[in-house]
Amino acid sequence: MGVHCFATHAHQKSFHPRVFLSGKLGGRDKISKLVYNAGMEPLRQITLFSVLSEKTLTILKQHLIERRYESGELIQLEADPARGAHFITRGRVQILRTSADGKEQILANLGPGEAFNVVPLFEPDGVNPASARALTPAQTGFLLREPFLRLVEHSPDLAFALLKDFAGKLATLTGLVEQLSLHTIRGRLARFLIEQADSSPELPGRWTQDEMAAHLGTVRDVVGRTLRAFEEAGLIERRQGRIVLLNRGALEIEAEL
Amino acid sequence: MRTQHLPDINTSLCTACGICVSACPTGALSMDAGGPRFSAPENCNYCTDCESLCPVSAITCDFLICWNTDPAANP
Repeated sequence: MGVHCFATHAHQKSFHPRVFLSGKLGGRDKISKLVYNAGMEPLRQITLFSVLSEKTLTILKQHLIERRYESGELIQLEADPARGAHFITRGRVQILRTSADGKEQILANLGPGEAFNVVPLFEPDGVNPASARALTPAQTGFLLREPFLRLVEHSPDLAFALLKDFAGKLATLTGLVEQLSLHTIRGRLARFLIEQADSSPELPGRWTQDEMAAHLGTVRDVVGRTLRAFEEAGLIERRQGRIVLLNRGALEIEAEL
Repeated sequence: MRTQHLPDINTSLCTACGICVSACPTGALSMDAGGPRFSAPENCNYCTDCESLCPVSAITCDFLICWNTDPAANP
């Protein structure tokens, strides 16, 4: 998975998420001091950059700004003007949105190789569609809007890689709409568990029941009850801090996969 | 031997109200001067009651989601 786009209209919000989100906004002071000093190899690990020519990658590297964040530090705030895109080179980053009553919806937990905040750079007066927070000490390559757009304009390989990625994202979002409109919480939770267990075993994310509920658009009690039901049916087992999936076939039936 | 994963208590949010201690069904938690702590961690069965009852969300119980075939999942 590469770029995370969240097709939203955050600029229409009547409140600012800063009211609810704790943690200081990090990385800003370092912007003028740090350039991207790591070699080419970490850049090749970024899914979106993996297919780029050496020439494009070299130009891109000149514009990347290295940013480091402490665990819990905010990287960007929803509804702020979109200044640039982040490409994660280390650590984990949580992408979240905040509702008017302060409820958080976790959209994604991202890791090295993944990018966020790319889509709004193509919109005139684009704003950050979501907030981002470092879940662990994290490092990103930050690319400002103007050099990024110039680079896309002059690098067909980057433009094509972006189009391919946006196409994949569009398919994912279409699937999400289907999930939300047609599937029960039981089905959505089953699908979520399978997706999480299948994703990057070398850098697994950890989820609280509240976060799962926010991600699935429900409340903690419902997640707790559904997990218990799965447990009683022998589909999963909860062991000290782990949800162990026992029966892929049965879970896939629940998820209607 | 794998170390036991316990609920995380954020002491900067905790108001030491004691609800988690009295609600813990296995007596894993007790209250001392600094607030709640796991005095009998081996008793904790990660039921997440402390997390759901904490009025200031100072306790979090997170889960790693994995397949049973994952070698790390099998102690």
